[in-house]
Amino acid sequence: MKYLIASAACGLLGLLTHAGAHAAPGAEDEDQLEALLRREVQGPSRYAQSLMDAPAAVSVITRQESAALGHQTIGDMLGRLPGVYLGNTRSYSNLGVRGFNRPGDYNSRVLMAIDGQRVNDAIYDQGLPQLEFPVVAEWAKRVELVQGPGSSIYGSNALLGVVNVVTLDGADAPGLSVLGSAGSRGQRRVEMHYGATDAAGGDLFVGLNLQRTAGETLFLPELGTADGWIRGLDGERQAAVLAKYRLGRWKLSMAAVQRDKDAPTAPYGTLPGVSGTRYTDRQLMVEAAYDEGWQDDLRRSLRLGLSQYDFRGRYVFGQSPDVIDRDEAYAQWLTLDARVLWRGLLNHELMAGAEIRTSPYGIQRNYQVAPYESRLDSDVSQDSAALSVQDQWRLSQHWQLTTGLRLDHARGFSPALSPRTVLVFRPDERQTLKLMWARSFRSPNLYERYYDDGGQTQLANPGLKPERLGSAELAWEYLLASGQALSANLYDTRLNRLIEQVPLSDDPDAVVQYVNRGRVRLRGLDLGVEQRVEGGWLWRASASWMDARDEQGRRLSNAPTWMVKGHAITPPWRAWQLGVEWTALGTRLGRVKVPPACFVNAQLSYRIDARQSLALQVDNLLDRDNLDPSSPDAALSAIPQSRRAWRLAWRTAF
Amino acid sequence: MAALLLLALAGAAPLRPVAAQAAGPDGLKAEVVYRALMFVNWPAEREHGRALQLCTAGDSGLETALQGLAGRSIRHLSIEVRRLARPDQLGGCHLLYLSEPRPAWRALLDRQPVLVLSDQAGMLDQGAMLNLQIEDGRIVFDVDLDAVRRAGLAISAKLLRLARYVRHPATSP
Repeated sequence: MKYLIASAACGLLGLLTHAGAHAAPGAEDEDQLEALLRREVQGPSRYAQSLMDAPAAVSVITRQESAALGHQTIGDMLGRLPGVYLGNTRSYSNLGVRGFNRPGDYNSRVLMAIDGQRVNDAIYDQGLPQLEFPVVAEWAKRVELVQGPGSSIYGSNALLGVVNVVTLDGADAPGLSVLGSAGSRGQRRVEMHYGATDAAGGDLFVGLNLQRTAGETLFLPELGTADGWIRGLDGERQAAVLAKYRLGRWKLSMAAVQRDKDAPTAPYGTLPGVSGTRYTDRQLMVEAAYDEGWQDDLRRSLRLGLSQYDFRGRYVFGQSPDVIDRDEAYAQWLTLDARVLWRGLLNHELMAGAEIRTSPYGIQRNYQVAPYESRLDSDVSQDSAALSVQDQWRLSQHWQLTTGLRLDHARGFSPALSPRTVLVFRPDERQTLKLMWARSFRSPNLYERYYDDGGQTQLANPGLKPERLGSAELAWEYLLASGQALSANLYDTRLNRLIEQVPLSDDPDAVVQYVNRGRVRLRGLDLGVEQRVEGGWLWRASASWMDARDEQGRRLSNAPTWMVKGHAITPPWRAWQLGVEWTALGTRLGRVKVPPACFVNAQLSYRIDARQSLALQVDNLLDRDNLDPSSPDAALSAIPQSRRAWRLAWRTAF
Repeated sequence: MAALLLLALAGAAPLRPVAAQAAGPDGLKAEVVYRALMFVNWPAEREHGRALQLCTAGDSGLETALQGLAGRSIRHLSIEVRRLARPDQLGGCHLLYLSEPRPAWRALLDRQPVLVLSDQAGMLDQGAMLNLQIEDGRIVFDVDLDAVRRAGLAISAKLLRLARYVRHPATSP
């Protein structure tokens, strides 16, 4: 290695003197060449080979596909990717990957990010994919799912994958576009976005989304209401806004969301069939980023992010006299992230990064409203610091080795080391093979450590230790001459000291506590085929086999062993276009065994003129009665999923 | 609140929507070739004339795009583009574009001051000195520095710094 550096340096010196003898090109020529190398290639080959060299297995869905399928949320987009299965507790949405989706979990083991800024909050690690997310599908240029552990770059929470939502720039969606939609179950939605660039090179994008639904009338005899029906208790309302402005090296962005959800499932022993039990989540993320771009061999960037999260839960335990309990949680956190890239050594690109994160407030309260009785009033601050390094080494035309290491220190925990190494082999233009090994971690969050409602439902456990994960993966991709890409992703992932909610007795209403409990092994294979050439039909299909087991070899709950999914989008025919997507997954265990689930969604769109279009969207077209395994907070043995729903959307551009 | 923000932002600055810039891969590659040639020097006797001859062999999109560079200048040299049918027409070429491996041409190129260009994967093993590729939606290039030096050409370190992969004595197998 030393020899290599020395000889590379000598080689460069020799070249410099050699070049100096001639008329040397100026810095301007270099800048112009660099600008060319930064430009995105348009046309059919743009996306075809785009991520074959990336030092990770990445699944991507673009705006083009999601628009033709009528997607509204980032979750709708993620649901099209191999190995991903979505669920809904009718309180919150959830995201399963690799056969791992703990009932009652808030998606703490997948890192969710918007343009690289972390979404998962500082109390629950919550980063949920549907209307809880601050960005809607129309504002995403693409959604990337980086398969497997990513803690060597992102730190805590990046255990099973990293989801990065790349949002539109003003130049991608110029002008004002407005969508209005209405449909069954009182669905109403207004979405608008505006994009512009100015003469100074500034780029602005603003998006606004307002939507609500009355939800479904549900037949839930298990809850013991007089006729078994639950009416008018499934409403959901959301407002989200995204604004970002980029000028030269600077970028300012703001994303905010508020989501209110009524709880129809009588969670935590609340009164069934009675209105007023509901959840409100608010999140605000602001970021200022500075990126110098390459200056000779150096590229420096700095990001300063401020986020806050606020949760309100209202629980109706009795009526006349009213017995109302409330949960409140509030956290604020500040993240400073500095990165330096250096390419002074031939065939290497080195990255060094430092991150400081401080959360001065982490408040959790639980109380009974009248008569007032406080059961929990906890405020815990959190601080962490991390250092990371990465070397991307181009060994030859065909081989590339990326090695990274991150050291995280969170106050109160011993330091966590997250190494990662990826070997990429490109035997030819059409094929790539990636071998990856990595370790990751997740610190227990404030909810798991300190939530305690006086022993009514949950006890605190301040002594929790971080979860650790190790994973080996092999990814293969082959691009056929006819324009289809075949892919395979094989993984063997082991999670240690898994933090799980455990009932402290056999009683069905037992008090629970989060404990570090044993090990989990996730093995599986995702196979995919995808049409990559644009201009005709766009389609993809995938099949996944998943084997998720605990240390006694028992299958995990909410873990299907198989899943198949796909979608197809017709080319525009006259002014018409049809997009259809389908998913089927195998039985899942839970409090009761849940039968295989299957759903088909479709969108038929009609282009009225250059500025206007109409679309009819139908979810669960076959009106299948699908079930999800129940979460521990629900009185139900399984959670019914959404039945058929339709909406008509009109979009116009100005 | 958000609508207000939108209005305020739209009203405050003279913003006008523009379409995103688009560029076909071959046009962009030709432009990269042109800019990269600024960083290449031929032996003094090959730079005495007025012309810099770009020669092409084989049909591909890039060959057509290279034709578009004719008439532009690099230093005091004006670019001429020539399509070759046979390897014996190589005389006078400063650059040869090969769209695929051509063993017959390779033998004639040995130690000639001709920069061999390609845009096919793995072509450094087939005699290419500068090989353009697409990675992550952008143009990247590999350089065989040993071959460049054997041909008597000089490439500026500034160009090497922008390369994805540079084959040189320390990295050659």
